[in-house]
Amino acid sequence: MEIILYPRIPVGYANERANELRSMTIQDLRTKAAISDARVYYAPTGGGRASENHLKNIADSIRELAAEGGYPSAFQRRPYSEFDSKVAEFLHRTLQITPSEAARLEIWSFFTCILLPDVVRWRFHARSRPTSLERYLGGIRGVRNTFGRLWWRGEILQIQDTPRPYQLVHQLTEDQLVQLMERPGLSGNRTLATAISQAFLSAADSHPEVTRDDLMRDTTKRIRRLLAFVSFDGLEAHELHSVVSDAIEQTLQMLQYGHPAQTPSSANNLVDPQLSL
Amino acid sequence: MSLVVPALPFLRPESDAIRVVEANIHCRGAAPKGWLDSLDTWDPSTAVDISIKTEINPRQVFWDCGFDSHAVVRMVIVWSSSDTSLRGRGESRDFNLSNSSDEIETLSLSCVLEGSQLAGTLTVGVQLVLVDAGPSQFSLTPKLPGTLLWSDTRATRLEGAETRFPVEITDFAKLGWLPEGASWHVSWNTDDLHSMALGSVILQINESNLRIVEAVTQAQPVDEARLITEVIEFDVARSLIEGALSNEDFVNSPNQYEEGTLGETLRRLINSLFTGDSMRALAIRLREYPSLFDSELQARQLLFREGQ
Repeated sequence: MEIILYPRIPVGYANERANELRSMTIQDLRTKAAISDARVYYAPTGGGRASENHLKNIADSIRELAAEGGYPSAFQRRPYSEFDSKVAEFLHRTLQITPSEAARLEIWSFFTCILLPDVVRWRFHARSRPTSLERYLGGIRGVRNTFGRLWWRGEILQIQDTPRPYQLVHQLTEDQLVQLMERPGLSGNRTLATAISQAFLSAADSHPEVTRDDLMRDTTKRIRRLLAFVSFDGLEAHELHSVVSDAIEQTLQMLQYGHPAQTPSSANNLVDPQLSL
Repeated sequence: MSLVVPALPFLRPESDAIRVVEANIHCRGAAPKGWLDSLDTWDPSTAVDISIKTEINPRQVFWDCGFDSHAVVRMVIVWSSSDTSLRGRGESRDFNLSNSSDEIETLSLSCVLEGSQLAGTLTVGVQLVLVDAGPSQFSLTPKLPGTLLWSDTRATRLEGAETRFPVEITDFAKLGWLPEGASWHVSWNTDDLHSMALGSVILQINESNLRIVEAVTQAQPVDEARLITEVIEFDVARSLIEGALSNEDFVNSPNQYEEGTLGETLRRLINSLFTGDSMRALAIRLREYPSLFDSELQARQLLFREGQ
Protein backbone atom coordinates (compact mmCIF):
# COMPACT_ATOMS: atom_id res chain seq x y z
CA MET A 1 0.00 0.00 0.00
CA GLU A 2 1.39 3.37 -0.99
CA ILE A 3 0.99 5.60 2.05
CA ILE A 4 -0.68 8.97 1.53
CA LEU A 5 0.06 11.88 3.83
CA TYR A 6 -2.95 14.06 4.60
CA PRO A 7 -2.98 17.72 5.59
CA ARG A 8 -2.93 18.47 9.29
CA ILE A 9 -3.95 21.56 11.20
CA PRO A 10 -2.51 22.55 14.59
CA VAL A 11 -4.57 21.50 17.60
CA GLY A 12 -4.97 25.08 18.84
CA TYR A 13 -6.20 26.24 15.45
CA ALA A 14 -8.61 23.30 15.26
CA ASN A 15 -10.03 24.35 18.61
CA GLU A 16 -10.62 27.89 17.37
CA ARG A 17 -12.21 26.65 14.15
CA ALA A 18 -14.42 24.10 15.89
CA ASN A 19 -15.76 26.70 18.30
CA GLU A 20 -16.60 28.91 15.36
CA LEU A 21 -18.13 26.18 13.17
CA ARG A 22 -20.21 24.20 15.66
CA SER A 23 -23.13 26.65 15.73
CA MET A 24 -23.29 27.60 12.06
CA THR A 25 -25.91 26.40 9.61
CA ILE A 26 -25.17 23.56 7.24
CA GLN A 27 -25.58 25.92 4.30
CA ASP A 28 -23.07 28.42 5.70
CA LEU A 29 -20.63 25.63 6.52
CA ARG A 30 -20.86 24.32 2.96
CA THR A 31 -19.55 27.66 1.74
CA LYS A 32 -16.71 27.57 4.29
CA ALA A 33 -15.60 24.05 3.35
CA ALA A 34 -12.29 23.96 1.49
CA ILE A 35 -9.64 21.53 0.34
CA SER A 36 -6.80 23.57 1.80
CA ASP A 37 -6.05 26.22 4.39
CA ALA A 38 -3.18 28.59 5.15
CA ARG A 39 -2.44 26.69 8.37
CA VAL A 40 -2.14 23.17 6.98
CA TYR A 41 1.10 21.23 7.26
CA TYR A 42 2.20 17.67 6.53
CA ALA A 43 4.31 14.99 8.13
CA PRO A 44 7.80 15.48 6.66
CA THR A 45 8.29 11.85 5.65
CA GLY A 46 6.47 8.58 5.27
CA GLY A 47 4.60 8.90 1.99
CA GLY A 48 3.36 11.17 -0.77
CA ARG A 49 1.13 14.13 -0.07
CA ALA A 50 -2.55 13.90 -0.89
CA SER A 51 -3.28 15.88 -4.05
CA GLU A 52 -6.00 18.51 -4.10
CA ASN A 53 -7.86 16.37 -6.61
CA HIS A 54 -7.75 13.39 -4.24
CA LEU A 55 -9.06 15.51 -1.36
CA LYS A 56 -11.84 16.89 -3.54
CA ASN A 57 -12.87 13.37 -4.60
CA ILE A 58 -13.02 12.29 -0.97
CA ALA A 59 -15.17 15.28 -0.02
CA ASP A 60 -17.47 14.75 -3.02
CA SER A 61 -17.87 11.04 -2.28
CA ILE A 62 -18.73 11.62 1.37
CA ARG A 63 -21.27 14.29 0.46
CA GLU A 64 -22.84 11.85 -2.01
CA LEU A 65 -23.16 9.26 0.76
CA ALA A 66 -24.64 11.94 3.01
CA ALA A 67 -27.11 12.87 0.27
CA GLU A 68 -28.45 9.31 0.40
CA GLY A 69 -29.40 10.11 4.00
CA GLY A 70 -31.01 13.41 3.10
CA TYR A 71 -28.08 15.85 3.21
CA PRO A 72 -28.29 18.81 3.44
CA SER A 73 -31.79 18.38 4.87
CA ALA A 74 -32.53 16.54 8.07
CA PHE A 75 -31.95 12.81 8.28
CA GLN A 76 -34.35 10.45 6.62
CA ARG A 77 -35.32 7.25 8.35
CA ARG A 78 -32.50 4.97 9.62
CA PRO A 79 -29.75 7.03 8.10
CA TYR A 80 -27.18 7.10 10.88
CA SER A 81 -25.85 3.58 10.79
CA GLU A 82 -26.08 3.33 7.00
CA PHE A 83 -24.21 6.58 6.47
CA ASP A 84 -21.62 5.70 9.12
CA SER A 85 -20.95 2.19 7.89
CA LYS A 86 -20.68 3.26 4.26
CA VAL A 87 -18.31 6.10 5.12
CA ALA A 88 -16.29 3.79 7.41
CA GLU A 89 -15.70 1.38 4.55
CA PHE A 90 -15.07 4.18 2.08
CA LEU A 91 -12.53 5.95 4.30
CA HIS A 92 -10.68 2.79 5.20
CA ARG A 93 -10.48 1.66 1.59
CA THR A 94 -9.58 5.09 0.19
CA LEU A 95 -7.35 6.97 2.60
CA GLN A 96 -4.34 4.61 2.56
CA ILE A 97 -3.03 5.69 5.94
CA THR A 98 -1.43 3.69 8.74
CA PRO A 99 -2.68 3.50 12.35
CA SER A 100 0.35 5.56 13.34
CA GLU A 101 -0.78 8.38 11.05
CA ALA A 102 -4.46 7.90 11.91
CA ALA A 103 -3.64 8.40 15.60
CA ARG A 104 -2.87 12.05 14.82
CA LEU A 105 -5.82 14.24 15.76
CA GLU A 106 -4.47 16.97 13.50
CA ILE A 107 -5.43 14.92 10.42
CA TRP A 108 -8.98 14.28 11.53
CA SER A 109 -9.28 17.95 12.54
CA PHE A 110 -8.46 18.85 8.93
CA PHE A 111 -11.28 16.60 7.73
CA THR A 112 -13.82 18.04 10.14
CA CYS A 113 -12.76 21.69 10.42
CA ILE A 114 -11.61 22.36 6.84
CA LEU A 115 -12.72 19.71 4.35
CA LEU A 116 -16.21 18.68 5.50
CA PRO A 117 -17.48 20.89 8.36
CA ASP A 118 -20.96 20.88 6.81
CA VAL A 119 -21.21 17.09 6.94
CA VAL A 120 -20.12 17.08 10.59
CA ARG A 121 -22.90 19.51 11.44
CA TRP A 122 -25.41 17.52 9.40
CA ARG A 123 -24.42 14.19 10.99
CA PHE A 124 -24.42 15.53 14.54
CA HIS A 125 -27.02 18.22 14.25
CA ALA A 126 -28.76 18.93 17.52
CA ARG A 127 -31.76 21.16 16.95
CA SER A 128 -30.83 24.77 17.79
CA ARG A 129 -27.85 23.57 19.81
CA PRO A 130 -24.17 23.60 18.83
CA THR A 131 -22.62 20.34 17.67
CA SER A 132 -20.42 18.75 20.33
CA LEU A 133 -16.78 19.89 20.05
CA GLU A 134 -15.52 16.31 20.20
CA ARG A 135 -17.19 15.61 16.85
CA TYR A 136 -14.78 18.14 15.34
CA LEU A 137 -11.74 17.45 17.50
CA GLY A 138 -11.72 13.83 18.40
CA GLY A 139 -10.76 12.29 21.77
CA ILE A 140 -7.99 9.69 22.07
CA ARG A 141 -6.72 8.71 18.57
CA GLY A 142 -9.78 10.39 17.07
CA VAL A 143 -12.38 7.84 18.20
CA ARG A 144 -14.98 10.58 18.68
CA ASN A 145 -14.07 12.66 15.66
CA THR A 146 -16.84 12.36 13.05
CA PHE A 147 -14.53 10.76 10.50
CA GLY A 148 -11.70 9.41 12.66
CA ARG A 149 -14.06 7.13 14.53
CA LEU A 150 -15.31 5.66 11.26
CA TRP A 151 -11.83 4.97 9.89
CA TRP A 152 -10.92 3.20 13.14
CA ARG A 153 -14.02 1.03 12.89
CA GLY A 154 -12.85 -0.14 9.48
CA GLU A 155 -9.31 -0.68 10.76
CA ILE A 156 -10.20 -2.68 13.86
CA LEU A 157 -13.15 -4.69 12.58
CA GLN A 158 -12.13 -5.55 9.04
CA ILE A 159 -11.61 -9.25 8.43
CA GLN A 160 -8.97 -9.56 5.76
CA ASP A 161 -9.03 -12.14 2.98
CA THR A 162 -12.79 -12.54 3.08
CA PRO A 163 -15.35 -11.59 0.40
CA ARG A 164 -16.87 -8.94 2.68
CA PRO A 165 -14.04 -7.61 4.86
CA TYR A 166 -16.18 -4.81 6.33
CA GLN A 167 -19.16 -7.00 7.13
CA LEU A 168 -18.95 -6.35 10.88
CA VAL A 169 -18.92 -2.58 10.39
CA HIS A 170 -22.18 -2.87 8.43
CA GLN A 171 -23.87 -5.33 10.75
CA LEU A 172 -23.26 -3.66 14.11
CA THR A 173 -25.37 -0.67 15.14
CA GLU A 174 -24.05 2.61 16.50
CA ASP A 175 -24.70 1.65 20.12
CA GLN A 176 -23.06 -1.74 19.67
CA LEU A 177 -20.02 -0.20 17.98
CA VAL A 178 -19.63 2.39 20.73
CA GLN A 179 -19.54 -0.38 23.34
CA LEU A 180 -16.52 -1.80 21.54
CA MET A 181 -14.69 1.09 19.92
CA GLU A 182 -14.71 3.51 22.82
CA ARG A 183 -13.19 0.89 25.14
CA PRO A 184 -9.48 0.69 24.29
CA GLY A 185 -9.16 -2.49 26.37
CA LEU A 186 -11.47 -4.19 23.87
CA SER A 187 -10.85 -2.42 20.57
CA GLY A 188 -7.05 -2.23 20.92
CA ASN A 189 -6.81 -5.99 20.40
CA ARG A 190 -8.19 -6.61 16.90
CA THR A 191 -8.62 -10.32 17.51
CA LEU A 192 -10.62 -9.68 20.67
CA ALA A 193 -12.80 -7.01 19.04
CA THR A 194 -13.68 -9.19 16.06
CA ALA A 195 -14.23 -12.23 18.30
CA ILE A 196 -16.70 -10.29 20.44
CA SER A 197 -18.48 -8.94 17.36
CA GLN A 198 -18.79 -12.30 15.66
CA ALA A 199 -19.91 -14.10 18.80
CA PHE A 200 -22.40 -11.35 19.55
CA LEU A 201 -23.96 -11.42 16.07
CA SER A 202 -24.21 -15.19 16.12
CA ALA A 203 -25.87 -15.18 19.56
CA ALA A 204 -28.20 -12.33 18.62
CA ASP A 205 -29.36 -14.23 15.53
CA SER A 206 -29.91 -17.40 17.55
CA HIS A 207 -31.80 -15.59 20.30
CA PRO A 208 -34.14 -13.04 18.69
CA GLU A 209 -36.04 -12.82 21.98
CA VAL A 210 -33.06 -11.03 23.57
CA THR A 211 -32.64 -7.29 23.00
CA ARG A 212 -29.50 -6.92 20.92
CA ASP A 213 -28.16 -3.78 22.58
CA ASP A 214 -28.62 -5.36 26.03
CA LEU A 215 -26.73 -8.41 24.86
CA MET A 216 -23.79 -6.35 23.62
CA ARG A 217 -23.69 -4.05 26.64
CA ASP A 218 -23.76 -6.87 29.18
CA THR A 219 -21.25 -8.99 27.27
CA THR A 220 -18.71 -6.16 26.93
CA LYS A 221 -19.22 -5.30 30.59
CA ARG A 222 -18.38 -8.87 31.59
CA ILE A 223 -15.32 -8.98 29.39
CA ARG A 224 -14.09 -5.61 30.65
CA ARG A 225 -14.32 -6.91 34.22
CA LEU A 226 -12.05 -9.77 33.22
CA LEU A 227 -9.42 -7.31 31.96
CA ALA A 228 -8.39 -6.72 35.58
CA PHE A 229 -6.76 -10.15 35.80
CA VAL A 230 -7.00 -11.77 32.36
CA SER A 231 -4.54 -11.09 29.57
CA PHE A 232 -6.44 -11.46 26.32
CA ASP A 233 -3.28 -10.41 24.53
CA GLY A 234 -1.55 -13.56 25.77
CA LEU A 235 -4.13 -15.89 24.24
CA GLU A 236 -4.29 -17.31 20.75
CA ALA A 237 -7.39 -16.67 18.68
CA HIS A 238 -9.17 -19.96 19.39
CA GLU A 239 -8.52 -19.66 23.13
CA LEU A 240 -9.79 -16.10 23.12
CA HIS A 241 -12.95 -17.13 21.26
CA SER A 242 -13.64 -19.65 23.99
CA VAL A 243 -13.49 -17.02 26.76
CA VAL A 244 -15.71 -14.66 24.75
CA SER A 245 -18.23 -17.41 24.05
CA ASP A 246 -18.47 -18.12 27.77
CA ALA A 247 -19.14 -14.44 28.49
CA ILE A 248 -21.87 -14.39 25.84
CA GLU A 249 -23.39 -17.54 27.26
CA GLN A 250 -23.49 -16.04 30.75
CA THR A 251 -25.09 -12.88 29.40
CA LEU A 252 -27.77 -14.87 27.61
CA GLN A 253 -28.52 -16.82 30.78
CA MET A 254 -28.70 -13.59 32.78
CA LEU A 255 -30.97 -11.86 30.28
CA GLN A 256 -33.25 -14.88 29.91
CA TYR A 257 -33.33 -16.31 33.43
CA GLY A 258 -31.97 -13.58 35.67
CA HIS A 259 -28.76 -15.37 36.68
CA PRO A 260 -25.59 -16.40 34.85
CA ALA A 261 -24.82 -20.01 34.02
CA GLN A 262 -21.79 -21.72 35.50
CA THR A 263 -19.88 -22.59 32.36
CA PRO A 264 -16.74 -24.73 32.73
CA SER A 265 -14.35 -21.83 32.55
CA SER A 266 -16.54 -19.40 34.46
CA ALA A 267 -16.24 -21.63 37.51
CA ASN A 268 -13.18 -19.58 37.71
CA ASN A 269 -10.69 -17.92 39.93
CA LEU A 270 -13.55 -15.80 41.21
CA VAL A 271 -13.95 -16.76 44.80
CA ASP A 272 -14.23 -13.13 45.86
CA PRO A 273 -17.95 -12.27 45.70
CA GLN A 274 -17.08 -8.68 44.75
CA LEU A 275 -15.61 -9.99 41.55
CA SER A 276 -18.46 -12.30 40.79
CA LEU A 277 -19.78 -11.92 37.30
CA MET B 1 -12.69 1.00 32.86
CA SER B 2 -9.98 -0.52 35.01
CA LEU B 3 -11.01 -2.62 37.95
CA VAL B 4 -8.78 -2.34 41.00
CA VAL B 5 -8.24 -5.75 42.54
CA PRO B 6 -6.32 -5.34 45.81
CA ALA B 7 -5.70 -9.07 46.28
CA LEU B 8 -6.25 -11.57 43.54
CA PRO B 9 -8.30 -14.52 44.77
CA PHE B 10 -6.20 -17.23 43.19
CA LEU B 11 -2.74 -18.71 43.60
CA ARG B 12 0.20 -17.21 41.75
CA PRO B 13 3.89 -18.10 41.53
CA GLU B 14 6.21 -16.95 44.30
CA SER B 15 8.43 -14.03 43.35
CA ASP B 16 11.55 -16.18 42.93
CA ALA B 17 10.00 -18.49 40.34
CA ILE B 18 10.50 -16.14 37.37
CA ARG B 19 12.71 -13.15 36.68
CA VAL B 20 13.80 -11.06 33.72
CA VAL B 21 17.56 -11.23 33.22
CA GLU B 22 17.93 -9.15 30.05
CA ALA B 23 15.72 -6.90 27.92
CA ASN B 24 16.54 -5.14 24.69
CA ILE B 25 14.65 -2.71 22.52
CA HIS B 26 16.03 -1.00 19.45
CA CYS B 27 15.09 0.34 16.07
CA ARG B 28 15.58 -2.03 13.14
CA GLY B 29 19.20 -1.81 12.01
CA ALA B 30 20.53 -0.39 15.29
CA ALA B 31 22.64 -2.34 17.75
CA PRO B 32 20.94 -3.59 20.95
CA LYS B 33 21.88 -1.48 23.99
CA GLY B 34 19.58 -2.87 26.63
CA TRP B 35 16.23 -1.34 27.47
CA LEU B 36 15.98 2.30 26.40
CA ASP B 37 13.60 4.90 27.86
CA SER B 38 13.18 6.42 24.41
CA LEU B 39 13.94 5.51 20.81
CA ASP B 40 15.18 8.81 19.43
CA THR B 41 15.64 7.68 15.82
CA TRP B 42 12.27 5.95 15.51
CA ASP B 43 9.70 7.04 12.96
CA PRO B 44 6.57 5.25 11.74
CA SER B 45 8.46 3.61 8.88
CA THR B 46 10.93 2.01 11.30
CA ALA B 47 10.32 -1.42 12.82
CA VAL B 48 11.12 -2.00 16.48
CA ASP B 49 12.95 -5.14 17.63
CA ILE B 50 12.35 -6.43 21.14
CA SER B 51 13.96 -9.33 22.95
CA ILE B 52 13.48 -10.37 26.57
CA LYS B 53 15.37 -13.12 28.34
CA THR B 54 13.85 -14.66 31.46
CA GLU B 55 14.70 -17.38 33.91
CA ILE B 56 11.78 -19.54 34.95
CA ASN B 57 11.42 -22.53 37.22
CA PRO B 58 8.37 -24.20 35.63
CA ARG B 59 7.93 -26.86 38.25
CA GLN B 60 7.90 -24.26 41.00
CA VAL B 61 5.27 -22.30 39.04
CA PHE B 62 3.07 -25.39 38.81
CA TRP B 63 3.56 -26.15 42.50
CA ASP B 64 2.91 -22.56 43.63
CA CYS B 65 -0.29 -22.31 41.59
CA GLY B 66 -1.60 -25.74 42.54
CA PHE B 67 -1.68 -27.02 38.95
CA ASP B 68 -1.66 -30.71 38.18
CA SER B 69 0.10 -32.46 35.30
CA HIS B 70 -2.61 -31.52 32.77
CA ALA B 71 -2.24 -27.76 33.13
CA VAL B 72 -0.57 -25.60 30.49
CA VAL B 73 0.89 -22.12 31.08
CA ARG B 74 2.43 -19.72 28.58
CA MET B 75 5.26 -17.21 28.66
CA VAL B 76 4.51 -14.55 26.06
CA ILE B 77 5.63 -11.09 25.02
CA VAL B 78 2.74 -8.60 24.82
CA TRP B 79 2.80 -4.98 23.70
CA SER B 80 0.57 -1.92 23.56
CA SER B 81 0.96 1.49 21.96
CA SER B 82 -0.46 4.50 23.83
CA ASP B 83 -1.48 6.70 20.90
CA THR B 84 -2.81 4.09 18.48
CA SER B 85 -4.26 2.11 21.44
CA LEU B 86 -3.32 -1.04 19.53
CA ARG B 87 -1.98 -4.08 21.34
CA GLY B 88 -0.77 -7.52 20.45
CA ARG B 89 1.62 -10.34 21.17
CA GLY B 90 5.00 -11.60 20.12
CA GLU B 91 6.76 -14.90 20.58
CA SER B 92 5.55 -17.33 23.22
CA ARG B 93 6.33 -20.71 24.72
CA ASP B 94 3.95 -23.08 26.44
CA PHE B 95 4.95 -25.15 29.47
CA ASN B 96 3.45 -28.20 31.06
CA LEU B 97 4.91 -30.62 33.53
CA SER B 98 5.90 -33.14 30.88
CA ASN B 99 8.05 -30.69 28.91
CA SER B 100 9.61 -29.02 31.97
CA SER B 101 12.70 -29.97 33.90
CA ASP B 102 13.38 -29.58 37.60
CA GLU B 103 15.90 -26.88 36.86
CA ILE B 104 15.68 -23.19 36.11
CA GLU B 105 15.24 -22.66 32.39
CA THR B 106 16.47 -19.66 30.45
CA LEU B 107 13.91 -18.49 27.92
CA SER B 108 14.49 -15.91 25.18
CA LEU B 109 11.43 -14.39 23.53
CA SER B 110 11.40 -11.79 20.79
CA CYS B 111 8.99 -9.60 18.91
CA VAL B 112 9.19 -7.37 15.83
CA LEU B 113 6.73 -4.49 15.70
CA GLU B 114 5.92 -2.59 12.52
CA GLY B 115 6.33 1.13 13.11
CA SER B 116 3.07 1.81 11.27
CA GLN B 117 1.15 0.31 14.21
CA LEU B 118 2.80 2.48 16.84
CA ALA B 119 2.75 6.02 18.21
CA GLY B 120 3.42 7.65 21.56
CA THR B 121 4.66 5.32 24.28
CA LEU B 122 5.25 1.64 23.64
CA THR B 123 4.64 -0.62 26.64
CA VAL B 124 6.06 -4.12 26.47
CA GLY B 125 5.52 -6.91 28.92
CA VAL B 126 6.52 -10.49 29.33
CA GLN B 127 3.67 -12.39 30.90
CA LEU B 128 2.96 -15.82 32.30
CA VAL B 129 -0.65 -16.66 31.52
CA LEU B 130 -2.78 -19.71 32.08
CA VAL B 131 -3.73 -21.58 28.91
CA ASP B 132 -5.47 -24.62 30.36
CA ALA B 133 -5.95 -25.39 34.05
CA GLY B 134 -6.73 -29.06 33.54
CA PRO B 135 -9.09 -30.82 35.91
CA SER B 136 -7.68 -29.39 39.15
CA GLN B 137 -10.22 -29.45 41.99
CA PHE B 138 -8.31 -27.08 44.26
CA SER B 139 -10.52 -24.02 44.70
CA LEU B 140 -7.71 -21.46 44.71
CA THR B 141 -6.08 -22.75 41.54
CA PRO B 142 -6.59 -20.34 38.61
CA LYS B 143 -8.97 -21.76 36.04
CA LEU B 144 -9.90 -19.15 33.45
CA PRO B 145 -7.75 -19.20 30.29
CA GLY B 146 -5.74 -16.01 30.05
CA THR B 147 -5.47 -15.54 33.83
CA LEU B 148 -2.41 -13.37 34.41
CA LEU B 149 -0.10 -15.27 36.75
CA TRP B 150 3.00 -13.06 36.53
CA SER B 151 4.17 -10.10 34.46
CA ASP B 152 7.07 -7.71 34.06
CA THR B 153 6.29 -4.52 32.15
CA ARG B 154 8.45 -1.69 30.82
CA ALA B 155 7.84 1.32 28.59
CA THR B 156 9.70 3.19 25.88
CA ARG B 157 8.84 6.55 24.44
CA LEU B 158 8.87 6.56 20.66
CA GLU B 159 10.52 9.86 19.94
CA GLY B 160 11.65 10.69 16.44
CA ALA B 161 11.67 14.26 15.16
CA GLU B 162 8.27 13.85 13.56
CA THR B 163 6.64 13.00 16.85
CA ARG B 164 8.17 16.02 18.59
CA PHE B 165 6.81 18.71 16.34
CA PRO B 166 5.07 19.02 13.00
CA VAL B 167 6.62 20.58 9.94
CA GLU B 168 4.70 23.05 7.81
CA ILE B 169 6.00 23.90 4.35
CA THR B 170 4.63 27.22 3.27
CA ASP B 171 5.41 30.31 1.20
CA PHE B 172 6.74 32.92 3.63
CA ALA B 173 5.99 35.69 1.12
CA LYS B 174 2.29 34.80 1.20
CA LEU B 175 2.18 34.58 4.99
CA GLY B 176 3.21 38.21 5.21
CA TRP B 177 4.58 38.12 8.75
CA LEU B 178 7.80 36.18 8.22
CA PRO B 179 10.82 37.56 6.32
CA GLU B 180 10.53 36.42 2.70
CA GLY B 181 14.17 35.40 2.57
CA ALA B 182 14.18 33.32 5.75
CA SER B 183 14.48 29.56 5.30
CA TRP B 184 12.75 28.31 8.41
CA HIS B 185 10.99 29.53 11.52
CA VAL B 186 10.22 27.78 14.81
CA SER B 187 6.72 28.83 15.82
CA TRP B 188 5.77 28.33 19.48
CA ASN B 189 4.65 30.19 22.57
CA THR B 190 7.28 30.28 25.35
CA ASP B 191 4.63 31.28 27.89
CA ASP B 192 2.37 28.27 27.31
CA LEU B 193 4.37 25.25 28.41
CA HIS B 194 1.30 23.53 29.85
CA SER B 195 -0.11 22.93 26.37
CA MET B 196 0.39 19.56 24.72
CA ALA B 197 3.72 19.26 22.93
CA LEU B 198 2.12 18.04 19.73
CA GLY B 199 0.53 20.96 17.97
CA SER B 200 2.24 23.58 20.15
CA VAL B 201 5.45 23.73 18.16
CA ILE B 202 5.55 24.03 14.40
CA LEU B 203 8.65 24.16 12.25
CA GLN B 204 7.75 26.33 9.29
CA ILE B 205 9.83 25.82 6.16
CA ASN B 206 9.89 28.41 3.38
CA GLU B 207 8.81 26.56 0.25
CA SER B 208 10.73 29.03 -1.91
CA ASN B 209 13.99 27.54 -0.60
CA LEU B 210 14.04 24.31 -2.57
CA ARG B 211 17.26 22.94 -1.04
CA ILE B 212 15.77 23.17 2.44
CA VAL B 213 12.43 21.71 1.35
CA GLU B 214 14.16 18.78 -0.33
CA ALA B 215 16.31 18.15 2.74
CA VAL B 216 13.49 18.09 5.29
CA THR B 217 11.21 15.91 3.16
CA GLN B 218 13.76 13.12 2.65
CA ALA B 219 13.15 9.96 4.66
CA GLN B 220 16.87 9.28 5.16
CA PRO B 221 18.74 12.52 4.40
CA VAL B 222 22.38 12.11 3.37
CA ASP B 223 25.27 14.42 2.44
CA GLU B 224 24.12 18.03 2.11
CA ALA B 225 20.56 17.20 3.11
CA ARG B 226 21.86 15.58 6.30
CA LEU B 227 23.89 18.68 7.16
CA ILE B 228 20.88 20.91 6.56
CA THR B 229 18.59 18.83 8.74
CA GLU B 230 21.22 18.71 11.49
CA VAL B 231 21.49 22.51 11.47
CA ILE B 232 17.72 22.86 11.58
CA GLU B 233 17.40 20.29 14.38
CA PHE B 234 20.07 22.14 16.34
CA ASP B 235 18.36 25.47 15.78
CA VAL B 236 14.98 24.07 16.87
CA ALA B 237 16.51 22.57 20.01
CA ARG B 238 18.34 25.82 20.74
CA SER B 239 15.17 27.85 20.31
CA LEU B 240 13.14 25.55 22.56
CA ILE B 241 15.77 25.17 25.27
CA GLU B 242 16.62 28.85 25.43
CA GLY B 243 12.93 29.74 25.42
CA ALA B 244 12.24 27.36 28.30
CA LEU B 245 15.23 28.59 30.32
CA SER B 246 14.00 32.16 29.85
CA ASN B 247 10.64 31.22 31.35
CA GLU B 248 10.87 31.88 35.12
CA ASP B 249 7.94 29.60 35.87
CA PHE B 250 9.68 26.71 34.11
CA VAL B 251 13.03 27.39 35.79
CA ASN B 252 11.43 27.58 39.24
CA SER B 253 9.34 24.37 38.91
CA PRO B 254 10.39 22.24 35.95
CA ASN B 255 8.56 19.20 37.37
CA GLN B 256 5.15 20.86 37.43
CA TYR B 257 4.22 19.85 33.87
CA GLU B 258 2.04 16.87 33.07
CA GLU B 259 3.13 14.10 30.74
CA GLY B 260 2.90 15.01 27.10
CA THR B 261 2.98 18.76 27.67
CA LEU B 262 5.54 21.00 26.10
CA GLY B 263 7.02 21.78 29.54
CA GLU B 264 7.52 18.09 30.31
CA THR B 265 9.04 17.45 26.89
CA LEU B 266 11.49 20.33 27.31
CA ARG B 267 12.43 19.27 30.84
CA ARG B 268 13.30 15.80 29.55
CA LEU B 269 15.22 17.23 26.60
CA ILE B 270 17.27 19.55 28.81
CA ASN B 271 17.91 16.85 31.41
CA SER B 272 19.12 14.47 28.72
CA LEU B 273 21.57 17.03 27.34
CA PHE B 274 22.71 18.61 30.61
CA THR B 275 22.63 15.71 33.05
CA GLY B 276 23.25 16.89 36.61
CA ASP B 277 22.81 20.63 35.95
CA SER B 278 19.93 22.42 37.64
CA MET B 279 17.55 24.52 35.54
CA ARG B 280 18.51 27.57 37.60
CA ALA B 281 22.23 27.07 36.89
CA LEU B 282 21.54 26.63 33.18
CA ALA B 283 19.33 29.73 33.07
CA ILE B 284 22.08 31.81 34.65
CA ARG B 285 24.67 30.45 32.21
CA LEU B 286 22.39 31.30 29.30
CA ARG B 287 21.78 34.82 30.59
CA GLU B 288 25.43 35.60 31.48
CA TYR B 289 27.22 33.82 28.64
CA PRO B 290 24.74 33.29 25.78
CA SER B 291 27.30 32.61 23.03
CA LEU B 292 29.17 30.14 25.24
CA PHE B 293 25.87 28.43 26.05
CA ASP B 294 25.18 28.01 22.31
CA SER B 295 28.61 26.43 21.85
CA GLU B 296 28.02 24.12 24.78
CA LEU B 297 24.71 23.10 23.24
CA GLN B 298 26.48 22.35 19.95
CA ALA B 299 28.92 20.12 21.81
CA ARG B 300 26.19 18.29 23.70
CA GLN B 301 24.07 17.77 20.61
CA LEU B 302 27.17 16.47 18.76
CA LEU B 303 26.42 18.75 15.83
CA PHE B 304 28.05 17.43 12.62
CA ARG B 305 29.77 14.66 14.54
CA GLU B 306 27.58 11.67 13.76
CA GLY B 307 29.75 8.70 12.85
CA GLN B 308 32.98 10.27 14.14
